[in-house]
Amino acid sequence: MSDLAAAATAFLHHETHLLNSERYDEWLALLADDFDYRMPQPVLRDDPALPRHSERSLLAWESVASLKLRFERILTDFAWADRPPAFHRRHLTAIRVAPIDDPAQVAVSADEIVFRSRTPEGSTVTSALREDVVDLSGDRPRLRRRTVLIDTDRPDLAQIALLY
Amino acid sequence: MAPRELIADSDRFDVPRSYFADDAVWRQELETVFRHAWLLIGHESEVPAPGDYVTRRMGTDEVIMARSEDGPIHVLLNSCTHRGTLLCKADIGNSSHFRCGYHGWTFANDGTLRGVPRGRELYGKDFDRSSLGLRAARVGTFHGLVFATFDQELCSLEEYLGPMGFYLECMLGVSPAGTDAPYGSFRFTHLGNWKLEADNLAGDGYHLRHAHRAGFEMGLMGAQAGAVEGVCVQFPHGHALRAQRTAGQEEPAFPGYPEDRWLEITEQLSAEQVRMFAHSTVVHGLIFPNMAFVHTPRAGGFDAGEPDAAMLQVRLFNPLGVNETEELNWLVTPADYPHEWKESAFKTMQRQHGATAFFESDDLENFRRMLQVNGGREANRSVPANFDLARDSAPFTPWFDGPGSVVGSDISEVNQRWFYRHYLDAMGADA
Repeated sequence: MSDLAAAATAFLHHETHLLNSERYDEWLALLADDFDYRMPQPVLRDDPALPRHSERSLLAWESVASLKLRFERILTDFAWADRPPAFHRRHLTAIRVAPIDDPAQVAVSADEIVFRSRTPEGSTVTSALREDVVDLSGDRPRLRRRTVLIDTDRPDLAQIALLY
Repeated sequence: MAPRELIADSDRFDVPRSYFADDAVWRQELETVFRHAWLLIGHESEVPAPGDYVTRRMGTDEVIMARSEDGPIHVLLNSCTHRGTLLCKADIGNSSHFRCGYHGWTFANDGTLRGVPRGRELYGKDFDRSSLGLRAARVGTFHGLVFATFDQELCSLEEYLGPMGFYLECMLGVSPAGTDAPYGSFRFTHLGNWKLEADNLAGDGYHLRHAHRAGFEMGLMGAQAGAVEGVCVQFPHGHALRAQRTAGQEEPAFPGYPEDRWLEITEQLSAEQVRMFAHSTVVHGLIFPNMAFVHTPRAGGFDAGEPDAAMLQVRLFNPLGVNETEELNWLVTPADYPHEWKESAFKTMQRQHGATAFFESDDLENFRRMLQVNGGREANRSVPANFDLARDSAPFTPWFDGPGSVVGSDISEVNQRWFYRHYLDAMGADA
């Protein structure tokens, strides 16, 4: 593994651990200012050659500003949907690092299993593909883009409410 | 304008919990409430070209919304007329025909049965295909929204919406170019009985400052947190609406709409519609039984430099059972507004009002926590859901002269009572 790939992989393990641990301020500090998070709507199409996610419909579209608000809400006493908090854990596998046009950045993709559990929703196990761009140009890596392609055509709320 | 009195509303209004918990109720709803209503299917822009289709549900019936080769939109039962197999399995696509995977019967996208493999040989030369087309629903459209019903006796869509049209046009009729659903539809399932979402969106002004307190405290309620006045309005067929505006304004202004469009809006709407809609802080309501809408100007708190764009979210909630609901959402915009405006409105929808965002997430949490207790023996028999809030509203003068029964109780349960009266009446219960 190249140094670049090793750095990007270590970065991904670290930021995922922060999300799992709900250390949101520390996780936000890993994002580039123009961070862009998208979750395209899964779509069933007849032709297997066509994409299985919509090009225009996004179930989630977040920026640093909107994520800050999202986490700020969780810390209020009135985040009813998050009280009590659910159990959740992201499991990464098959991390792949590839160069892109900008030599200071790399494309990182990973397969991900996300487990979430709470009464009364029960447990959900969601498989997804993460497609990231990590900026390695500064003194430390920063996450610039994340696109999450979930592998389920009829997601339930518990599945789409999570950050992947 | 003359002051209006709240219609006398003297009896205690309870709905037994069993209506939210019993499977038998759900099955009866499909026969009564859903069978005899115009149901939202989608938006015309989802099927712009001949052959385009999307698959949807009407109650629990699977249907196809397709634009046929000659242009009109059809809503067809997605079930082969031979043995009933689901014909079209994709969410979205383009096809001139739908072919059954079982015996190969093939239907045109207007529902006509076109092909039966070895039909003449096996069924005989007198085999009449004409009576074996796909079961077609009646289709009606309103400013781009497509509705359908299998009830041949029900009144027209125009009559069904009736005076609610006055208010819907305030949001859907601002541009002569019509409406668009530029981001398509969003679909997910959640735990909870569909009626909870219906009564909430019909007019629950009471929950806002508690269920959505985080949004208020974080400045996401915009003008709704200021000095406002509001009304609840009820309509024939069970529809209801709650509207609020910044109090004391005279000159028309349309927060969330580009200022260079304000003149066009005043030309598009009637004088009373302008009076109703100007300075709007929120409009939400229910088209009976399972379509709702939320309209709000952007409240801020998002990315810098984006245009201030009002959001109209249209929602559909289909009961998959007594405890589970499938929800579809659309962002509906004026068709010819700039891309940046639509994108900003879309972000407002997904970040503020989307399923994962501030407001709907806490609402849906409350609905599933009701599910958790509604099936209990004691809860079911001795603690009904109560809708007695605000029976004695003082006479008031609304800021506009609009149709429907306009009540000056912004925080009340008058619309919920209206919804459940129609619901219980359709169910054959004593309302």
